[in-house]
Amino acid sequence: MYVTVNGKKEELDSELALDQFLIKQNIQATYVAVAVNCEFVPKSQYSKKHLQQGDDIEIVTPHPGG
Amino acid sequence: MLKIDDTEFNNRLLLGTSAYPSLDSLKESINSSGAEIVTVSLRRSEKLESDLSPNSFWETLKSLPVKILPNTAGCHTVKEAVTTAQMAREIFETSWIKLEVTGDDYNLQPDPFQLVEAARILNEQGFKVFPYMTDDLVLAEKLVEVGCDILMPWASPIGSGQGLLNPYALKVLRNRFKELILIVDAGIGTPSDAAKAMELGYDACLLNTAVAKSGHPSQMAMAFSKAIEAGNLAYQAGAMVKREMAQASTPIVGTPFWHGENYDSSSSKHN
Repeated sequence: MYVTVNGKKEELDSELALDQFLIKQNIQATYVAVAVNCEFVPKSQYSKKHLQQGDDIEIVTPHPGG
Repeated sequence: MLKIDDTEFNNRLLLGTSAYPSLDSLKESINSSGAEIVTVSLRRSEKLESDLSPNSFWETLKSLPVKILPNTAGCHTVKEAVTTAQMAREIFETSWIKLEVTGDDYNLQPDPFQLVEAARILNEQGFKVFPYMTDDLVLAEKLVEVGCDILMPWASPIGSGQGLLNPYALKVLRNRFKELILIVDAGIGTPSDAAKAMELGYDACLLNTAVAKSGHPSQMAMAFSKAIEAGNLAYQAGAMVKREMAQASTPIVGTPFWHGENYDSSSSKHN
């Protein structure tokens, strides 16, 4: 199935929970926050959030800003 | 003393963290200005090309004694802004949010309608909302109606450095909302702009580009800090009343070579 990760289309072998997906992406969850389809997903919900075909995932980290 | 959310701050400069020549330059600017509140953003977790990579940036900022004010820069809709605020609350462990909802990409002017709606939702969710807004009085009233007790009107468009384009509008907001915290945000170019805003009675100034893009950021940051303090002191002291005509500050009586009998203030010898 396909999902979009930070604007780029990616193929996933199988349905994954968000925490598994982040591990597979080599992303440490310490300083990231995630939204799926523009809905915030709290860290406590990562293992319960199963990604679906067509999901739009945004993974963000702290950056400089004004 | 600036008091926000039961926290007291000695410094009335809120400093942005973007566009510095280096991470060291940013750190020096925060230190030299004594800024106690700094703004940050959230961006996609891709490796940056400069040394401001996400981890080193955040690790550096965390090591400093500053309060973090995350923004929602780049958001164009209520949904985007609310979701970004929620993500920021989790990462930065703060309910403070500088709410930005861009309405026009030409001058990055905030969208007043979506700003109010996003502010309403975030206030209901327990956020401390710092809304970045135009200087419109009615917009300010609507933001207050939905629970905002801090307002951040622009001086001029973000990053333009044009200074206070409409001091009248800023003055009206100050007079209308005497009890609220008012912070001039965006468009300030020089320390004298910031001093002017503070002399109008504003509680603080938020700026970034004027420091980061100056010839010597840490020195300029210090200059801004001093100007903001000076403007605040001047406002607290109360400025003199302006006059149309000159009035000698040195007493006339006792002037050397002065002959009182020749002096007539209503028909001087110059007439």
